[in-house]
Amino acid sequence: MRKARGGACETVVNRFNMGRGRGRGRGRGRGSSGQFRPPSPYRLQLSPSRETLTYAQAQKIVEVDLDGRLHRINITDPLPVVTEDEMMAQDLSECNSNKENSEQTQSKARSWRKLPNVKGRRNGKSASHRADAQPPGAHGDSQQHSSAQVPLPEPVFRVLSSVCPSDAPPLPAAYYHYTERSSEEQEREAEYDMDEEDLAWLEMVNQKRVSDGHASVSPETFELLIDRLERESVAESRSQALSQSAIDEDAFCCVCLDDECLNSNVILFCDICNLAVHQECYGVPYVPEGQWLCRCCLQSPSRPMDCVLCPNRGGAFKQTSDGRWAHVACAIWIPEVCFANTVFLEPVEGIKNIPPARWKLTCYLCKQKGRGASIQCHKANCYRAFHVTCAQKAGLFMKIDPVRETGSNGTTFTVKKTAFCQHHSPLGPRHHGDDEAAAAEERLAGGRGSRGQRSYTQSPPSPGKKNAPKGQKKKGKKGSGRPGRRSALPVLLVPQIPSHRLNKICTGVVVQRKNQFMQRLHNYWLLKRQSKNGMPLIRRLHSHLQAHKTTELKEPDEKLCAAREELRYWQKLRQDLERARLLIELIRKRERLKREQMKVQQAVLELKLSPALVLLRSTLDQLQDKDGARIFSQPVNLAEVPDYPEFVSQPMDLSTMRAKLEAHAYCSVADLERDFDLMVSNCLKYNSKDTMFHKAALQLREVGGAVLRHAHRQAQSIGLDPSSGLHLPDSHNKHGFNQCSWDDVDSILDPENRLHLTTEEQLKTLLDQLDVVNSMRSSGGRTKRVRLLRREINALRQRMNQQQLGAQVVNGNAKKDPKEEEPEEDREERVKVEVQKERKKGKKEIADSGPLTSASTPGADGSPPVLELTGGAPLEPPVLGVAPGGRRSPGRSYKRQRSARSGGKGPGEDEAEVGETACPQPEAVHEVTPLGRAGPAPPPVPATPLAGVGRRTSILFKKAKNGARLPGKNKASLAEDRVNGLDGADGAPSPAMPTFTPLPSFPSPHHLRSRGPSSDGEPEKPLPTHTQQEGLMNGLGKHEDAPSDLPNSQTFNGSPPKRSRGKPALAKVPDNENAVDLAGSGTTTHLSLDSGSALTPLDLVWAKCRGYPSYPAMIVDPGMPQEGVLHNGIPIPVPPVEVLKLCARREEEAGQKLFLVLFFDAKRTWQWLPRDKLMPMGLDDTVDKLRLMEGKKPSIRKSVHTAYDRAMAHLNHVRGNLNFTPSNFI
Amino acid sequence: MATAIYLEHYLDSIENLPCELQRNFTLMRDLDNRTEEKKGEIDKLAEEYIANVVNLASVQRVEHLQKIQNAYSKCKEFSDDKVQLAMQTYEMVDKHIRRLDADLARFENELKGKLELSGYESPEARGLKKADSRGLREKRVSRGRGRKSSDEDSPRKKKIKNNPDLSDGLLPMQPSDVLDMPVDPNEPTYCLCHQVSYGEMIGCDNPDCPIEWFHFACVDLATKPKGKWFCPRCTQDRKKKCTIDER
Repeated sequence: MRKARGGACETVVNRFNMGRGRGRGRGRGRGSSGQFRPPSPYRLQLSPSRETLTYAQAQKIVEVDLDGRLHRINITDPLPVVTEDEMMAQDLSECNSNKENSEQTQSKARSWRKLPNVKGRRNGKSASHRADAQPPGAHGDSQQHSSAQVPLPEPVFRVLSSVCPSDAPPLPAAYYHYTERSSEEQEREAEYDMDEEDLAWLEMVNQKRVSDGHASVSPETFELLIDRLERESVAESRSQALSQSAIDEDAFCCVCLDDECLNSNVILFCDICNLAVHQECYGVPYVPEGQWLCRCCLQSPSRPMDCVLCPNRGGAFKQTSDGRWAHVACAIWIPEVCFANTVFLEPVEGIKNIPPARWKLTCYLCKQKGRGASIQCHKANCYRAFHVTCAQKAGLFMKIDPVRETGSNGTTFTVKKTAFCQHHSPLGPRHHGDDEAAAAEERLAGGRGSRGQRSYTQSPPSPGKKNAPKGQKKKGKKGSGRPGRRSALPVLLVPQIPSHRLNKICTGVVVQRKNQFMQRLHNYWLLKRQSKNGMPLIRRLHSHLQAHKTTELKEPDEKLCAAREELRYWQKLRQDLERARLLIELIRKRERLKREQMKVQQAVLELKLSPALVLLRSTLDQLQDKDGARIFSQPVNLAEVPDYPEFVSQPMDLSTMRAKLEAHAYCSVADLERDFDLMVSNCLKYNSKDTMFHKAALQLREVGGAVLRHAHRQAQSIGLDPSSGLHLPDSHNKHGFNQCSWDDVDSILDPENRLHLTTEEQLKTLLDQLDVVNSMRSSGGRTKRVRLLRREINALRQRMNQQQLGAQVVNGNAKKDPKEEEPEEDREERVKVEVQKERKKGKKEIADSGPLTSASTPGADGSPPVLELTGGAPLEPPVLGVAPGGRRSPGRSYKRQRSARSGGKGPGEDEAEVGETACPQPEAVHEVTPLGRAGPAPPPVPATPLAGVGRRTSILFKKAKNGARLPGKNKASLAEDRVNGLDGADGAPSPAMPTFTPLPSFPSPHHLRSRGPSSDGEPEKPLPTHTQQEGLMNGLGKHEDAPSDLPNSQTFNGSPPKRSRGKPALAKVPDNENAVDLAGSGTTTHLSLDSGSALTPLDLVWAKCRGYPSYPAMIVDPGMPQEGVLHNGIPIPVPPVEVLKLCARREEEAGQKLFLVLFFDAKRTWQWLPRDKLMPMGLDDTVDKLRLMEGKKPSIRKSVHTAYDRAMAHLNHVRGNLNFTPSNFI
Repeated sequence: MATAIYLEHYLDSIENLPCELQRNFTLMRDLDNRTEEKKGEIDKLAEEYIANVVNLASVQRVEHLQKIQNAYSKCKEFSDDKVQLAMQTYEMVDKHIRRLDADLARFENELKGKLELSGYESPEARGLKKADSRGLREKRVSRGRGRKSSDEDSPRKKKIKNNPDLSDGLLPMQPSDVLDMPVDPNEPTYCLCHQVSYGEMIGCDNPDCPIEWFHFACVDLATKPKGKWFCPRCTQDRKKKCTIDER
């Protein structure tokens, strides 16, 4: 575009040349052919017709045909030559303005003139410069214009030899970077640069100084001083600014009386008179930098203005076109008056057009006539007149509405101004608008009224008074020093610099006549500032001024800073403390660790110095753990058992052992074991084997043996030196323990492989192996081998016992019990072995003294009857008392055994007849008794021989036995023994008494029971039973009837509810084996057992009705008293009469004796059943279990279970044995 | 600047702290030396014993071992003393810290009050505030630490370290009392997770617990349990012990 235009211009020139036929074309023949011509910027005028021109005219005109249009150019008109460089500028200005103007033909020159900028014109005068490479078009045209005939200047150039073009060092091409200078640096150098004005001034001053004989002032000094002044002024203004209030919040424009302030239309304040006007209202399209002054302050600051249109002063004035002044508001409102320039709203025109009538109107507000022009109320027929400013002052309704009018020539915007007098203002009375300003408009109007009041004051008739009204206005932004400001130039815009500061400023400068110069300089500076509207002469400082204003506000709180500083200090202290705390915490932890370390060290050293001791100690601890009842923990109290030394020469107990241990009396495990064995054997020796002590001792020996063996092995593996108790230098045999394969075990298991050993050794080996195997991981192979090992061990032990027995039998009375059972379990076997041993002892005595001595049955349910620890020993719980018995096989085998024994024993024995008579008895009664009997603690009697004397005796008065054991008492008579026993009982009631407590319950069941069979006429052994009962009943007091008494009591004691121990299955097996061993008689008795046992009332049975599985029931004596009985405190239901009546008929039908049973079902049904339908219950777990499983349907099985539970609960109640829980069993 | 008088008092009170710390540390050092001596003695005794044990009668052996035993018990006494001293020292410092925390909180509040009085908040003040809130966040951590330790010194005293009104109800802790504290690389770790203490912590009631303090989260606690609380490890040990006892 531009290029094209350039081309166009060129063409113009060319054509021009052609047309004129003169060689002017060398003007700027640059550029190429412009093929197309957009409208030329110069818009050569189309002339209306060629023909109208005269010849003379034609001679002066060049015709140019551009784009088919004919342009005529006057030859006297200057034709600008446009270079490409100037295109841009031209474009811009062209676009801006002159389109319309260029239309005028005649004003071509003018329009052209307009284009070239000032510079061009100015430069034009120095034509010689034009010859340079720079060819401004304006210059060209002026030349052309001025001298058309003169040939165009030739380009001339000369080479300047003096100029050295490259004196500037080559700058690094990379980049320039800006470094902020520190304030000190800035301080040192002057930022100010002189301009021509300064130069001129300085020149003048210097001239004068030189003429006065002073040295001239260098420009550098001048710059420095100005710079200092600037800085000083900035500092000054800064301090002033602090005290100045910021923008007045409720300022309002005094033209429109509105306080609305938009960003596009802000309210400006005059920096001198503090006049507030909107940009638009006062015609200030751009907010100027620096200060702004209203027109009147700008043009005649010292003189108050009077408006030509109204009598009021103050407010926003503009000059009229004739040099007078008028209010902007007046100019707006008076219809005839307008602004020449509607953007800048000046000057005011049309004053002359105001009709005289308007001038004559009398303002009804100020009542002044002939002063100014008034407007009238817009209400029709109201002719009230008022000055615009008076109306504003009075707050009349004055409204300017923009109106959009759509007419024939487009939409135009006009404003519709309405003003009403007080009476016709649309919102009612206006005069006290301030008070009633409720509605928004009212508020507006009222506000305006008051504002107007504030804005204007009436000018006095004589304009002598100064601008007093302005004093009413708000304080201005820079209104400090108001008093004198009218009279002077707005000096105060520039902060005054106190003289002392001035002196300070010039200290560093060496100038002659300094003070004078400074004064002049200062004045010059002030003037210069004023001429620049108070703008700082150094830009940087100006911009900083704003920033500083904000930042310096924060400075005052130095106190705060100090406080912050202090806070920081404290926080630091806090951190230090925290660190200290951390340190101490670490120390604390360290010390704790050290303490732990110390303990560990001690333990290590102990292990090092006395490993044997540690081992032995731990072994002893384990042993002590095994002695749960603490029987062995303390020495035997000789005060309680004065006869102890008679049996035991070397008492031993765990505490003594410990003492010896600590005294390093033991060097090896063997030593410890020796004492342990001694302790156990003491116990065994002193206590009869049916006491709990005896059993505890056996048990301890068993488990203790294991512990000791383990200790042995450990000692061996760690290698202890027995002499020092230290480790052997080289530990050996580390792998001896726990390293054996199944093969080893198996080989040991084979008896052939250990034939070379003695039985003791074999036993030891086997036990070792057992331990080893036990310590192994659980597996099928292990379990099997453990079992095998146990069997082997038991067999071995048995063999040993037999050997011993054999020896003893030879010595004594040859009462070898051929029917030794093969024990199935280790401990059990041991117990039995002991029992047998005891028995052997007993037998020896019995051989002479009769049955009384045997006393093998423990009265286990009470506190130990004996000696060790009498008083202190805890009452053994019944369950424990039962234990040995429980371990035994249940009733059946037990019975069989017994009968066999008694049978075997029978002839030739002292107690033979007793045995004979008693023998069947237990069988008959045995199974029943535990149920019917209420003994709280059924004492177990495993495999005891039928040694005579009453159990109770032996239970209660254990001393009898002990006495019998006394040397020399071997042959004591029965009577004596009993006496002894009695004595013992009397002598030691405390141990005996607990034993009695359960006994009182005996009589009643026995009564019942004895009565039952007898009255029922039970056929089996009624008589013995009876006598037994008697014996039992009397037995407590009478000892004479013991022989008959004995078996009975034995049966009582011996009936073991073995389920309490809960090892039925294990117990079972060997029994069967035994049974095989036992030959015929055993089996027969065995068979006879189930059906043959007598049933007594109140026994629990399994009753089998037709169509039903066996069901738990209780036998009830049909002859019981109708008022009911209490069975051990438990009421027994009374059979209804109907049921009793049924008896006879049923018995007839069945042809045999029937038992009345009461089922344990929910309804407690009654039934009469024959004996063969009844099975004793609660004697044998297996039987019970079988019965429980009998039911076909789950529901029936469940009901049987429930009934069984109920029965067991009944049993428990009756026995008062609360520890027994049948559910355990089930 | 004459600030709050209580801060001056605080300075006075803390003046002695370094001396006391030094004294305690010296004491501990002393004890440590004596313990070392005893240990040397024990070693000698042990060697002697091993050399001569074969020739010694059992009574002599007992005597000899007794000597060693005694030496050890002396050592243990020293160790206990040291631990006690460390605890005391800790408590002392902790007391100071808590007092400072309280005072600082007060001071800050006053500062803030002043700021508000002066009518506006300078950006610095705002910055301060921000720092405060940051401090608040951090503070939970450090407070936990502080609290914990205060209780820790008195294991008999008990329990949750972070219960604010447990030990120092007298010193109302303001939320903004503790500042950002740099994490010390040597800070002891606690809990099953072996982290430094933070948040609420709970102390095991077993005085010999090797860990002592646990984060709530690590032991699945949300609130402080009632009664005694044992850490998972100690619970296990106790169970074992119990069953052994029963046997």
